[in-house]
Amino acid sequence: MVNALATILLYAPTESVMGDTQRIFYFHVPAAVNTFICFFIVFVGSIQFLRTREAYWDKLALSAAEIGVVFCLIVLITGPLWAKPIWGVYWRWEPRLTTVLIMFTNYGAYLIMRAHENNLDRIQRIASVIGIVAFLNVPLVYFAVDLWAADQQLHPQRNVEIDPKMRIALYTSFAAHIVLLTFLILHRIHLHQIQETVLLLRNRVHKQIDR
Amino acid sequence: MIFLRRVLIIFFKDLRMEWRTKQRVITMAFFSLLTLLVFNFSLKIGGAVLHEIGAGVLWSTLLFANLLGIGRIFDAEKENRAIDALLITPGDRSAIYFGKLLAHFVSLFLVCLLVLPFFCIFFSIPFEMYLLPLFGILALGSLCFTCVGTLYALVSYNLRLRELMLPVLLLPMLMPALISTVEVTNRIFSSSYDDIFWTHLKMLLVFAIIFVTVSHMLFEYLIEE
Repeated sequence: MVNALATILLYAPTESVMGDTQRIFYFHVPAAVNTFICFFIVFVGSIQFLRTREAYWDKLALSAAEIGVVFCLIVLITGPLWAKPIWGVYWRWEPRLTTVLIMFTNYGAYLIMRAHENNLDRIQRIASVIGIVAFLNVPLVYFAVDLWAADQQLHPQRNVEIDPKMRIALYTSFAAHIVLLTFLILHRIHLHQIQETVLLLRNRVHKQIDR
Repeated sequence: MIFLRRVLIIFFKDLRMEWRTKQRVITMAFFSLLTLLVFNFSLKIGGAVLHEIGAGVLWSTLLFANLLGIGRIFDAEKENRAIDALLITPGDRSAIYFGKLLAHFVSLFLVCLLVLPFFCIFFSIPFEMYLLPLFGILALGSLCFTCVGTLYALVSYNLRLRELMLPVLLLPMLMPALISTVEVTNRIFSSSYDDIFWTHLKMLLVFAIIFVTVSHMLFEYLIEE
């Protein structure tokens, strides 16, 4: 991560038109990719949970959703920060922005829902169903929004020519972000496991006291 | 055939209940009327913009009415734990999904038909010109709103904060449907049946097909216990 930061800030050449503002791009793009990876993990975890009923898959889905929402938030914050000096406004109703925003609300709702339930078995099933349906919604949202605001397309589509040094910086950043992502998810899963153990122990202690 | 019979039994049971009480359809229609008023006062609608925002106002109104009504479709089963009786009937449980879906679809479509004249009068839209395509898109839009809605109604039926959670969970899911219905209706009002019109129409069909399939597969996991 530190290495990536150094590459981003020192190694990569300054963009000729946009200046230093462009450097935000090294966070924005990997974070966006990570968001999609996370929500895909939620999808897979949810399916696996419904198939196998092993609590591990549900914990994986929950952790990925939490981390995904955080990365989504990073994308949504860095985007407008960059857009203000470059586009002149913080927000445009452009296809990708809108898609990411709807995705954010979708998984935000998923987390809110999970936060307010206490029946664990029921919530795991419900959350898995929502995790699956919400992921299927993403391409539909993208397609609909793309049609809806086709004249507003401002993100580069694909195969953008960039300076080799920038490419190295970008790839370093990608690598760093994915390592961070894996670390965070594993950490969250571990935390949820500890939480469950604590809950279990506490219940046992209560039972002992009741006796 | 037996599956179809099960679906129809649940469908007719729900419709009969609705016919006797009329609570959901009347409330949804009345609520839609109020929402139209709210839009009218908050946007100060009038003049040339009418045709541009008309479709958006119509579908937002129906979207909110749908949210209001769909949260209640499993309430009847809660009384006297009728849901247990439904669950112990042998056979495929997704029949319940399809029965509920059809019943709510018919109710929502009825609401659309009740609201449409008021909408056209308030927004001075000559509806007799577009009657057939309008009925078509109202039916398709209602189906799209209903297919995810029925699944989420069952989700929220099991939740502690259900009145709060249902709109929060369901609204982001219905965004693509909302976008496409509004775009299609806009094009109907301006009589421009171009490529984008057809793409949006296909989009709605795909939406309905995907979510009917997925919902009926996932329905079983939600209903067990």
